[in-house]
Amino acid sequence: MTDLIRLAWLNTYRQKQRTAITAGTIALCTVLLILLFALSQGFVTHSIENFTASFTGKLQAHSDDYRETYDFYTAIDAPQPVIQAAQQLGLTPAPRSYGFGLVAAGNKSAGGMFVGVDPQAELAGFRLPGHMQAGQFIATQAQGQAMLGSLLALNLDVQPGDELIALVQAADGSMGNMLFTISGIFAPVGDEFDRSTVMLHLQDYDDLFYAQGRIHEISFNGPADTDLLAAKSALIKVAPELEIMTWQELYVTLALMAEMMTSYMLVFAVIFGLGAAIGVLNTLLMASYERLHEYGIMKAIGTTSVRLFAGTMLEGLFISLLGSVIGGIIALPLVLWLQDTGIDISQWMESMNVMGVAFDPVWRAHLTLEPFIMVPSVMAVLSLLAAVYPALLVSRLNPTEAMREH
Amino acid sequence: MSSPVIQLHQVTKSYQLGELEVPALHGIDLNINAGEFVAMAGPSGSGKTTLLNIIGALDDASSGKVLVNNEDISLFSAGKKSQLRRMQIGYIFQHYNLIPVLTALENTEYVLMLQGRAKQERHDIAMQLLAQVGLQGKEHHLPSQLSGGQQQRVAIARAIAPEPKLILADEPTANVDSHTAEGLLDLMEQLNKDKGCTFLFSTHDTAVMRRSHRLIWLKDGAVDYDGEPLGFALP
Ligand SMILES: Nc1ncnc2c1ncn2[C@@H]1O[C@H](COP(=O)(O)OP(=O)(O)O)[C@@H](O)[C@H]1O
Ligand SMILES: [Mg+2]
Repeated sequence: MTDLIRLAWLNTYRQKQRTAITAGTIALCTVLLILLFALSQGFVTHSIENFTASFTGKLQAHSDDYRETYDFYTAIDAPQPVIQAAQQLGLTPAPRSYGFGLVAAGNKSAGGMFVGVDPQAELAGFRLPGHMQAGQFIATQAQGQAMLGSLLALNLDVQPGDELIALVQAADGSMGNMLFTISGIFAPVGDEFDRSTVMLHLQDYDDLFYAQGRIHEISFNGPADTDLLAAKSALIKVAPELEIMTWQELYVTLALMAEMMTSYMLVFAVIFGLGAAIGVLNTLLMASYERLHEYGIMKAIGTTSVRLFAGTMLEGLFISLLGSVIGGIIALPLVLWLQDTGIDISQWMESMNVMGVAFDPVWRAHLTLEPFIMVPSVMAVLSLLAAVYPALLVSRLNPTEAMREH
Repeated sequence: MSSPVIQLHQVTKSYQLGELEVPALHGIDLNINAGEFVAMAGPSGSGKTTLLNIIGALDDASSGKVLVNNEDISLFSAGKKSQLRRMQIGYIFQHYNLIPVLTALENTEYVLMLQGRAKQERHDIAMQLLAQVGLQGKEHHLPSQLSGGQQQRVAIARAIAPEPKLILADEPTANVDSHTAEGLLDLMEQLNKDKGCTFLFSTHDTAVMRRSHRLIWLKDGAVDYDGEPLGFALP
């Protein structure tokens, strides 16, 4: 076996120039694919991090039936244990309450979705409080302040400092109404959010809705590399009565898109890899014609067809691996540089805010092991497939004919 | 010393060239015993290579019987033929016998390697044989670093390494000068005497024919003379 491998390796080096060109092409393809992969992954992870860290969180807890009905009365009965458990896991929990009602300012009115938040928890764990168009986020002490979505503020024609009347149906069936001061206006996030969000201090929310401490949702943010499934099961252990979901479970389409990225990259790798495979095919075919006499001799003195077949296949594999290794070695520092420094795309994009949550004007790569394994594997598989034909030619050689003519 | 290594009964061979049938051998009967040192000669196209290929299981006879070591090789499968070539026959060809990327030592070891012999064992055998064929100190040379005569010596060492009963050589001296040819003949004769292995080699060189112990003269695909080399009046 080692002799077979050694001979194939020596043969790989034989026509140095031809091997160098083929392996070089494979190396170039490998570099391009790895960079493309790492940049795409950088974009996806950046987008997901933006999305989850803004307000959604990496995980959410609700009362078991809440997400089916969004019923005001289906609240989390005992939020404290799960909040404490999350903090111990290094997550930042934020309790939230929701309710619908009307808001009015001057002679204008609109429907609003009220969100009661703990400003301190939001500030500690999420980016949304910093995503302002005007004014300031609501103070950590409840003092009758409200934050508005940008479109809602536009529709009501209000500015920070203006007054806002809220009118809702309270928990006990009575009419709840309160006067708020607008502390700030969010920068655009997304249409639904911009059109309806009225964010209040939890205590003010409680007063308005007569909610008696009802919490509908706890959102947990955490570092990008948090093991979400482990965190989820740890939280379920503490609060089995709650429904705990990861962002992937909450936003299935988004998670699917992130996962499809790998499939797209696979398609790219196969397309590039086909080019590499043609190079391997060409190299091996030329080699087998040149070595006809030699292979004839080898077969005549008792080398089996299987051995000649395997030798040629190995040669194809070695050319491909040679290219992949060189490509990987070149790609690694480039990916690291793109991860650290990135590409400044601000000059090509008018605004970094159009798509909702703010995008970093620098596009960075994200280094993972995946492309360094996937790309060489695809190259190797396609090279092996390309090697089958020349390997069959060589193994089926008739030794007397091979020696007679060459 | 009379056990037959090669027995041919009415062996014929014709090549198919499109519609045309080209006869190469006509009813050859031949016995060669263990330990013989036989030259096969004849004009170009007389069928020497064809006959050697048939005996060496590289090609099939069109009809007749071919027995090597008392086994009818026409009944062998491709795998069994490959095994026969690997285990029982040594081959020396006219030129470019060696694998260019392997050293003299590795080339000599090659068939032993195919046989699955242990690394140390085959190394020792090859080292000793290379010394015997006069290539001490050249073990790690590549074929391209050796002269034509030296390359043929390596080919002889490779053929003899597994100690086969039969060594077939198709014009082994055709590409070397007469002085080198003499040296190769000395070596082959020496190995024939020391190891007792049977040599059957083709040639069209009269000096080489005279060195054989038995001369078979082929003419138009048939045996024209078979006997003492000195008793034959060369045409
Ligand atoms: N593959 C082949 N196809 C057609 N004819 C062949 C082939 N090989 C040999 N011959 C013919 O068979 C005859 C014997 O050839 P060969 O055995 O090579 O003779 P020698 O080795 O004595 O020169 C010649 O007439 C030659 O042209
Ligand atoms: Mg010939």
